[in-house]
Amino acid sequence: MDTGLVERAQGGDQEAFGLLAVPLGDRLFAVATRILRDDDLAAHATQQALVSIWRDLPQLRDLGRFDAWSYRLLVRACYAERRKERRWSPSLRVLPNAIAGGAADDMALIIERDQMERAARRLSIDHRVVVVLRYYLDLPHADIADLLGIPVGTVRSRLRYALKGLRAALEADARPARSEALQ
Amino acid sequence: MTVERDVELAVRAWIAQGSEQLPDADLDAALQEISVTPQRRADWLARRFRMMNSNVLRFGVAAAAVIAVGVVGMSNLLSNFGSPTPTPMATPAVTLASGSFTAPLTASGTTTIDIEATGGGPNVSGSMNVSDDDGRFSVDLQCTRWAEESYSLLIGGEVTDSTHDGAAEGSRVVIAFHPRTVITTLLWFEESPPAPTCRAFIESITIPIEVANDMETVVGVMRFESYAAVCDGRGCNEIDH
Repeated sequence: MDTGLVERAQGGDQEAFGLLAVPLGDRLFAVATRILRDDDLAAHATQQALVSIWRDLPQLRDLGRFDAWSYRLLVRACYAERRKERRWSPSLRVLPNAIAGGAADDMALIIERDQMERAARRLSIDHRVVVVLRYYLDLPHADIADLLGIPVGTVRSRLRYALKGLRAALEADARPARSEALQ
Repeated sequence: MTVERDVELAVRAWIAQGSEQLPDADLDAALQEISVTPQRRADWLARRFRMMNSNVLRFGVAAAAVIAVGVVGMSNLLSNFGSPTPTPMATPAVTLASGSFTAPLTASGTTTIDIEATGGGPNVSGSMNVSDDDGRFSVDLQCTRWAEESYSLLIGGEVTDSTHDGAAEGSRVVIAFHPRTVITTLLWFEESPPAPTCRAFIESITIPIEVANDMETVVGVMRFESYAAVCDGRGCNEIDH
């Protein structure tokens, strides 16, 4: 993060914010797409987060916390986007081309990822958020708690619950999926 | 344990896959919206930063208190907070705010605040004593205002005696209480040039709702006209008023 750009943007410099927004937008989008599991929703959440960041930047006290603060606004935007999402959404997914001519290993890998995807979609957004912050951004539990405004114990319990859910879903999916693949 | 580790590894491998670049069209749309979106400028906050960055006033933002209250209590509290109207004939005096609490400060660790204020509008009487590791000061409370923009009760006054470098005698100060599912409190000092009256000072202060929401937890007892609570830092219990 370029603190100079953040400082200029905080002072109302739109050009500086524009420069900041390019890498920032990519980082936020990468997180949003993993939380929301939908690129369109993630793009919209990222847009909203960027606008919020610009609008509220003068109120950021510690510029050193810009990244964490930005992720906090992104998570809020993801929650807002999730609330707007239709209750029903198609489960059809396009598998990568590799599956067409893939070897058995590729096939197994794709199947595993697909199982994980389905398992992740079964998690609540609360649980997906902590999984993404922990395993994608590699944030410590305390930082996640600070970012989300929840106790550290809640972060730990959500992670435990999420991993337990993912493991159960993977185990439940594993046999049918693998047997179908081998047929 | 191994199974858990395997799941973690599987999660990490899976989560590493996925889009990493915001489409240009979406970035452009965001920047377009930003170009017509004004920033929320909090003048008082900017002043607060300047004070905190200097050694002039470590109390620039002082006690911030968050008190979780129940629905009934909050209802009472809101009704109490919502109408600090002038009371020219304050007999008997209406309790505006009364209590003793500590709160973590941004610059100076724990601050202790004792406050007793009665009356309303420009006719407030009472005092507030503030202390932390760096000293103490007293405030003669004189006026109050309800700030609609942040649903905050502001009580203003003048520092009467001080051993604290951050609070010069004669300077004006405001304490704000913000009720929601929690109550927020902060202290804010006047910048030069000084306002001619307590009322002029208090009416010059704007506290955005976002700022009012971003405060810290109080431990202690607070009483208002129709609501009183004891708070332990994690929550509050309503007590007899």
